[in-house]
Amino acid sequence: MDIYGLVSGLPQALPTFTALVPADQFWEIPQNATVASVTVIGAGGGGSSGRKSAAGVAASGGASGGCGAVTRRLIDLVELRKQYGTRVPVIVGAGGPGGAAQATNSTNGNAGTNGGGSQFGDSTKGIFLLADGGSGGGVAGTGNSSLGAGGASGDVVGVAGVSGTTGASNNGNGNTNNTTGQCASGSGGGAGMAAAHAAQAGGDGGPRNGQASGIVGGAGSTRGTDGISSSSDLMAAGASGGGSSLTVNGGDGGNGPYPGGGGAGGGAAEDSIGNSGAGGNGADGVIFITVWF
Amino acid sequence: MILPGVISGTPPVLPTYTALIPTDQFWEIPQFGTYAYVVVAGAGGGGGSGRKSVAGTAAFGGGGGASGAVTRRWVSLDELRKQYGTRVPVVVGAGGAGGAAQSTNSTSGNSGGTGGTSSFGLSTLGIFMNAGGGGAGGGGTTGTGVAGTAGGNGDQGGANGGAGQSGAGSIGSPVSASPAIATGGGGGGGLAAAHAVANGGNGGLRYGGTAITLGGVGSGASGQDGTSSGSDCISTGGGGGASTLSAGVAGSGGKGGFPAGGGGGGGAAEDTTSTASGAGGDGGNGAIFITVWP
Repeated sequence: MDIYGLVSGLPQALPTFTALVPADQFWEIPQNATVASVTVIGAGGGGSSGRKSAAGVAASGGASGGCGAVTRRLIDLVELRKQYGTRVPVIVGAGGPGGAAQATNSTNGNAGTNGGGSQFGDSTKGIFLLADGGSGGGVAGTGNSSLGAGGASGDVVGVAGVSGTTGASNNGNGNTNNTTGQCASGSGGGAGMAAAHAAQAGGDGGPRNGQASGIVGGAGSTRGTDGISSSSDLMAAGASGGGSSLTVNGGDGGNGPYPGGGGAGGGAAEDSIGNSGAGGNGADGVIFITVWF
Repeated sequence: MILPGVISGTPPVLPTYTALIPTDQFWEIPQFGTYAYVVVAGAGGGGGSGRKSVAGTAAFGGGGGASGAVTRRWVSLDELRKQYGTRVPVVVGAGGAGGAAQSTNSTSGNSGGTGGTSSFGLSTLGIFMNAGGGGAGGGGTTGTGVAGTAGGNGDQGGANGGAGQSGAGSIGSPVSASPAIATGGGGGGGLAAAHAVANGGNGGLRYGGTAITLGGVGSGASGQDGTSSGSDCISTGGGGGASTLSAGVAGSGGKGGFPAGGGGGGGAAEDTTSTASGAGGDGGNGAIFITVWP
């Protein structure tokens, strides 16, 4: 079989694929390359931890963090070299850590940290791509905790997290990834407790497109499950939230799926018994670059 | 199996990248290659010029032009050859001209030109892509400086221009949560009835970040030209010009970035002391970017 290039004895160069990580600061433009497909994904926000409350006082589960935004473009490398020379500055956002478990009685949970934004190029130049990170889950108090917003700037906005609640089990299921091109479905909120304390299950992860149901939330006092990472420019599936507990520590939220998934919320806990569940970590962002020669 | 082209010699290195401009009328389908990624961007609208007014009468700055729409698709070259043969007719829209400066006393400014529509193929055949040009900014009057309306008729619409005002011009509309290709131009600065100099509006932000295309600041200052991506990344609209009460002319609007950026609106001017209002900035040309794959 003859294929392109083999006639002359020199095989045609194959495309190369690179995944940049948060430690990377530049991308070296390969010599002789002509075109690059660049996908920029912001990092996920961390989930928040649940509250600790005395019996008779409601305690919210932690909220899940938002997912990162996504921007995709095909770029002519001749033009890129004109604007940048031999290398392009990049920033790859790191995932936001989840809120630490709460060990102090009658105290709110800790908020998750925002995921970092990712960018390709310099904002003052013509070729510039950006994707915001998702926000961290909000503080869990005696009312429902506030969700982490999805990354706002980019071709496609990130999926938002969900609030942790003080109500019935499985309130706080993650948002579904139902818009074309998002990087991940949302993660679940942590389980809380109403004033009449009772252990509850954490919220499920949001199902991604084509998935009938998401990752099941942690039962009472159980850790949520980490999301399903795609490790690629495909949809990842959100993590599930931790369960609340009257007898031991609340369950931690699952970690967000890579790339760009938000962390799940941690479960609430009862005073003098155990710590609340920590929020799950948001996943790192990434820049995927495929180059053709 | 011998693939097409190999028999006759060495095929070209693929992928290849082409940028079509307004003078192009056809795209020759290459002999080699199996499919193409085609980006069609409409042109940006021109900004309007500002009004000239006597003291005691308001004069609005010109409206900023809007950016063009964009359509992106993968196209099979086999199917394209079936429908078109060896070449595909194309139209690449030219940027709308900015409204001419107004030198006649007590007269409204001139509207800019609408950005041209870009298209790949014929609307009567199956493979056809289209992206509308951005709307023109209106000339400043005693009551308005109408902003250009975003280009439509594409996968992704453009962004509106900023309105000309009797005070500082409005900022052009941004592109932050969509795959649009350019932002709108800023509106021109005007003069309220009690005449006072006002700045032009910035070109629209991209990704909600810091403005990189500034409107004119201070009497008669022109807006900056928009940033050109020269690619399928986001260009910015031109900044609006500032108004003036002094001798000379008011600030002109900046040109829209290439491709598809809206032009900035021109600033307003006073009848007796100023020569003319500021002209509107030209909109950025449209483009068709084509990458051919093995």
